[in-house]
Amino acid sequence: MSIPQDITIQIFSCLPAKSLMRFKCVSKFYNTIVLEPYFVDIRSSNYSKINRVIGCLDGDFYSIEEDGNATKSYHQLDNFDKLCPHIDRISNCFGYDNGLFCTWDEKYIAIFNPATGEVRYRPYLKCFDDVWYCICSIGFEPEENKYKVLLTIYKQNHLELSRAWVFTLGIDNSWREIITYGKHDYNISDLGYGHCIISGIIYRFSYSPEFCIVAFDIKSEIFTTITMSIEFHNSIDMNIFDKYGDKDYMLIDVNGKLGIMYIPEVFLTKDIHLWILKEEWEHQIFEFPLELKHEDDIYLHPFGICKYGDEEIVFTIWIQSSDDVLAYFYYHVKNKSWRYFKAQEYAWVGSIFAYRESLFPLKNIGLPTTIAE
Amino acid sequence: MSSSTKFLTLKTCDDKKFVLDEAIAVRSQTIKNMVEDDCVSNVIPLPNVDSKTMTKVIEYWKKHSEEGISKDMLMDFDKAFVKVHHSILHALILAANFLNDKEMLDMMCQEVVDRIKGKTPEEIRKEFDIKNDFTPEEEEEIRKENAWAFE
Repeated sequence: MSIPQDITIQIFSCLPAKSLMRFKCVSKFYNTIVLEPYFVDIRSSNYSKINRVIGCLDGDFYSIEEDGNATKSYHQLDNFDKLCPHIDRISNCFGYDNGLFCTWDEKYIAIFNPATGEVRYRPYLKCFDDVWYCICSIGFEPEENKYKVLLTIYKQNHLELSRAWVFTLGIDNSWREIITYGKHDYNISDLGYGHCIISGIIYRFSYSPEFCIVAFDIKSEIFTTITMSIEFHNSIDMNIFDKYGDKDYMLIDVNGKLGIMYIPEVFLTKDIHLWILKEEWEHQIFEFPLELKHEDDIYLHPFGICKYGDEEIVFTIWIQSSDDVLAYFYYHVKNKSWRYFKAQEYAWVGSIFAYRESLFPLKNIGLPTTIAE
Repeated sequence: MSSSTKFLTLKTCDDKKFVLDEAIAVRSQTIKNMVEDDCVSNVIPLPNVDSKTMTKVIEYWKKHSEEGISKDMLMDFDKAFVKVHHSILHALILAANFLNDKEMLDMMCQEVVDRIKGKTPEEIRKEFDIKNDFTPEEEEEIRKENAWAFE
């Protein structure tokens, strides 16, 4: 007696994408099942709810897996090498949301699904020439189940306004410029750690004409402004960057709410500040559970921080001492508790992401993997 | 103990009878519905389940109904419980599906997932009795597209 198909489908929905891609040649039915919305739905409540922290190390990606004994092992992730040779992967220019990545260099914007191994490229528009910098965010809109890429450019000459384009995966054939910006000439091109995506809204810092947060609603494609926490604004010195030339604050998803995390001289004070946007900005302070010996011993970078699961924030901290160690600290926002691991295998990772697989197909989007030079 | 304990008699397809505390038997949504609809006469027939499989199912139900059993003990029990030959695993899945015990079905399915995730397409066809309806050329094409997944 064989297992009925509805149970087989249930079983398949709990499989990792790599197995599903291999099982496509089992039969015609299983070849197309990964594209069926009902299957993708079941899977998102089964396998895809699993979150893994992945880190970028010299352009390769590793998933960091806990084995329960306070140690970590690394597994190199498939397919990230496919971003080569068209994109300089060493850069930290990554946008990520709900399983899909976007990354960019001077020539191309790549959209990438590591779970299915698909990479598609979109060339820049002529008007992107001569920009000081450009930043892309990929964002998932859960209501309509759509991904959009938001691209903004910022010219060094402040007299010119920032401009923004949008591209809906699987629907648009070309970039669409967003005309309405509201009252701002949004300086919405802030670098990586400035952006954060929460339930269909992309948030970024904006610096002119005033310091605020700009929210881009992926569904309606409307920009709005969120007033900065005055307390936070007063605590930072806008002109000061930390000793590595980076900002010491970032936007972060805190249990589905927007948060600003501020890590002022964490090496000295141990205090981390978090403002969470509820009715008002709510201020929390917490402390690293770590005995810090000397400020030079420890290196924490906003790229090495991400939200994990529903209620935790992961901090990757490079502890440079006799034995180089990368420590993973998980802060549970609600319980205000910590857990941590040390990984000796690698002393350093670049950006980290809380990754969950998506089966979203990139067929018919932009250019295929191979670009004729 | 309590005088209100009611027993049900279950009869498997090979005509074996199992007498079971009703409170335990209603872990099966199918049996629960029958009890609630009051259509339980003396014996509940289970035409899709054989006695060998039913013995395992009852072993699982009894363990999961034990009072004061710790989570860790249940986890150890579950781990050992699913370590069975694949024909028994399949029979248990069919039984859990017929009896409509979602918790048990999910656990058995997870075991199948763990067993098959590293397998080849040929092994999957055998495992689930699926007919290959591709031409060799079509299959080769899909294999090529997803070559990375075979590494």
